[in-house]
Amino acid sequence: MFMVKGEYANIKNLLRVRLKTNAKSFKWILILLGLFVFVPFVGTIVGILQSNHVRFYNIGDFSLTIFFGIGLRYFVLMLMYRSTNDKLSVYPQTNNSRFISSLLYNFIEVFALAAFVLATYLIRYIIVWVLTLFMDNVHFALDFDLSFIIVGFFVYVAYSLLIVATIELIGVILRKWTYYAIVGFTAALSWMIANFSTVIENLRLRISFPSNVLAFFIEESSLINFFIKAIVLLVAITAIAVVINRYTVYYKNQGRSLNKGVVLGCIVVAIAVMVVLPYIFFVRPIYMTQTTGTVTEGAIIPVDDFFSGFEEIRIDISHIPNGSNIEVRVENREVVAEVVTGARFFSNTHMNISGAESLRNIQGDTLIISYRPSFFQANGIMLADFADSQLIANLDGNVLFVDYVIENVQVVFLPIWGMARQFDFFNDRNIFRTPIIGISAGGNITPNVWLRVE
Amino acid sequence: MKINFDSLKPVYIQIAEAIEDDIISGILTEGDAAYSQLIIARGLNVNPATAAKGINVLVSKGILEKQRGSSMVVACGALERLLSERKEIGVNGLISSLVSEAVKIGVSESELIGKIKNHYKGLEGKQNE
Amino acid sequence: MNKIVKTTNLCKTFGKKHALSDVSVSISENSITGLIGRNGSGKTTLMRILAGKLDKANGEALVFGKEPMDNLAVLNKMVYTYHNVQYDQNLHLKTILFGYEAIFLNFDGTFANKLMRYFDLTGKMKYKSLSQGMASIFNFLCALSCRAPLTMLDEPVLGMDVTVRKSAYEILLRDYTEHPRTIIVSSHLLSELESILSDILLIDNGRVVLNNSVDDIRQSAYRIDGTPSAIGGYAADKKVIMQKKSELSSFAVIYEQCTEAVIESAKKQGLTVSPVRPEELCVFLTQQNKEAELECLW
Repeated sequence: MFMVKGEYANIKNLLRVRLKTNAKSFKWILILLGLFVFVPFVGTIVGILQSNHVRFYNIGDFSLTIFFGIGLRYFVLMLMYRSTNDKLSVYPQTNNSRFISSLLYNFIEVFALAAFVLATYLIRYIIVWVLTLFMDNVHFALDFDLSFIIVGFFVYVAYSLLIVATIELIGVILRKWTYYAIVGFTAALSWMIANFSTVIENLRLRISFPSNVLAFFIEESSLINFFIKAIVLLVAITAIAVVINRYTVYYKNQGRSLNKGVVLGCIVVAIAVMVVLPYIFFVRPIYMTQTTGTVTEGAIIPVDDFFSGFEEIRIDISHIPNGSNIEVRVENREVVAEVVTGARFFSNTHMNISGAESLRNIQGDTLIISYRPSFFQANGIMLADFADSQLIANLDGNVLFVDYVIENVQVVFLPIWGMARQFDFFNDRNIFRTPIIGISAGGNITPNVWLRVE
Repeated sequence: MKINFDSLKPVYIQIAEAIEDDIISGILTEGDAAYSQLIIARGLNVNPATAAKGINVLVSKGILEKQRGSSMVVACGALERLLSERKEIGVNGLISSLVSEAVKIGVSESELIGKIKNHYKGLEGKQNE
Repeated sequence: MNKIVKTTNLCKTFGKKHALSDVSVSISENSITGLIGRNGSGKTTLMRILAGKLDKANGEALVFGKEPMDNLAVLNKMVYTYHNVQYDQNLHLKTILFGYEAIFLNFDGTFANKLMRYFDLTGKMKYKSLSQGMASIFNFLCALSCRAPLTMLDEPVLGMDVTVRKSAYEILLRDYTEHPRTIIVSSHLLSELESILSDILLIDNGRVVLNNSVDDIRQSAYRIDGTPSAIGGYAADKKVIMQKKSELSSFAVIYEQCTEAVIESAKKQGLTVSPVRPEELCVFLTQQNKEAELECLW
């Protein structure tokens, strides 16, 4: 076919050598990554065991971290193709077997990394799950969904392999047509950046980046179509890379190195061409439309409408004569709830009470305390799903004590395969929350309280 | 056996002569297996091809014989042939050098013969002691 | 005799420099060829091209009858090593040996381990911690253990001290007798190597100066010492490749077959004849005649 006689065996042997040679450094990478994951996790467990107030543990999606790490690692490795392979030059090899064994090794490494990510997820999940057996107040925010975990694993592997294959293709193109490729890739990159950049937000480049390129994958909602696309593209990219590599002479000139001055020149020229020139000549700036502020007249909202949706506590104060005062005392409390990601997010706990003035010179028989139950959400998960908060109001003589309690719950948010969210197959499952990256938390951990007398 | 790389004599000739010396002195007797090229190569740290060349010289002279397989043996009558060769060529060569040197420094024929006779007597005397 | 290596008008340039010009040589099967030349003469360039590790500019280079580059049928039968082969710096020696064992079909791991012990190397050592001499030893023993039908050693003894060098040559010769193969050794120390070689290939400035068996080379020149006039008379019609005249000793090196007749005739003219060692001959054939400059130094 494509291969010279004996090349299969050679590729297999070279692959074995690569595996053995890199085993040690790869092992250290995994150890470091393991520390990166599990040291904070120990903190999480300690927190769960020791905590006396509501905590929401927002453990990041490790698969995404590794995903970007994969991109970075293989990009760097691609640039070091020559120096890495010179260290194996003593072994008999052909141009083809050298490249294919390198490619296969990278694919195997990616697979191992994916398996590692899965393992870190499972280990952490199991440890927390064991805790849930002993502690009633520990909950998972997301479900353990076996089919998702398995399918998501393969989605992750597919994306990762595609990234690596694309990087290898870029590498092969760089090695064959070095200077032209540098210009080309820098131009493409600066074009992409210019398109997405917020710095030049007001400007729109005439030749905009075809957003349907990314959409081809990211917006695919059918799993089967995704896998078909992924496999076809992976095979195509790999095949093209292998073919281009075959027609590149590796030993063109021993010790030839790129002329750094020329490389820098190419990059500068490319950036200039793609960013600066269009900016000067082709841009049609779109001006921001002035929004006129809308003024809403202060409307008087009927009391009942305003308080609809609020909870109520009614206290009979008919025994308190009109005209007297009721004092309100509020419990002060320390931190009641927090989101633990490493960056702690405190919630101020002082209750906000409105309407205390209506308790002076009371004219009525019923003291109504209206409050919005506290709501707190992190990453789209409502704390109220796990913890009930309750407002407590006691009238003792002329003093109204107001307090609230929240159960001490520990909620662990442990996501995985964040980039597999788009598939219809996973709709209606409790395995994702928006946003994918970063945390958003907010709400009101303390109930806002309105007092009135009727 | 020792090879002198600074001699005008080619290495392979030196090897051949060393084997001949061993035959003459009785270390190798007729019918014995002679040194193979590998043994010579290893022993003297020379390229086996050179050793083979030396052996082939002796084969062509009839001193060594190739047996079945690849082993070499000392041929029958090798000792005799070597002795007569040495007498003929070897000793004659020495005599010619001796005579030219004697003539050069002015030793007469009778003086030379006398010295030779004395020399033999001296050796006999040592043998009797 | 099978020609394992055959080059025809091989040329290679690096930019403007002509590393090899019109090199046409052939190397026979199971010979031990010494590739001799000064630094920068083109020895490494030639070996790299034969090993398929360098693109040639012009001409033909056939190894086992075929072009070596990217040709597994050829590459699998050969090993090319030099004194400072690049490996991943952090590798242990035993990992490197594993690599050899995995790829070279004839690699004798037991032999390699015995050689390691012999030269006081252990598998646990890291390649980067080896001195130049030890690295040379290691690369040498790896190449030898490959038992490859064509073994090319580029300055294998660089950095080795004299006792280790002698062991290395002896081991090379001995293993060659046990497992014959074609060996090309490049060196600029010919004198120590001479006895184990069968052929010599002398390269100077990218051109072939000598390509002959060692025995023939030993016979191909001789030195005459005597009075300047005797030398002058004798050498008048002969090819003189080196001459020195002084009050104490005058000599000339004649490039001619040294036969019995020649020796006799020289002796008759009052000249003493002595052999020229191959190393000296190589020096005479490649020196740059800087005699006058040398005298000007003081």
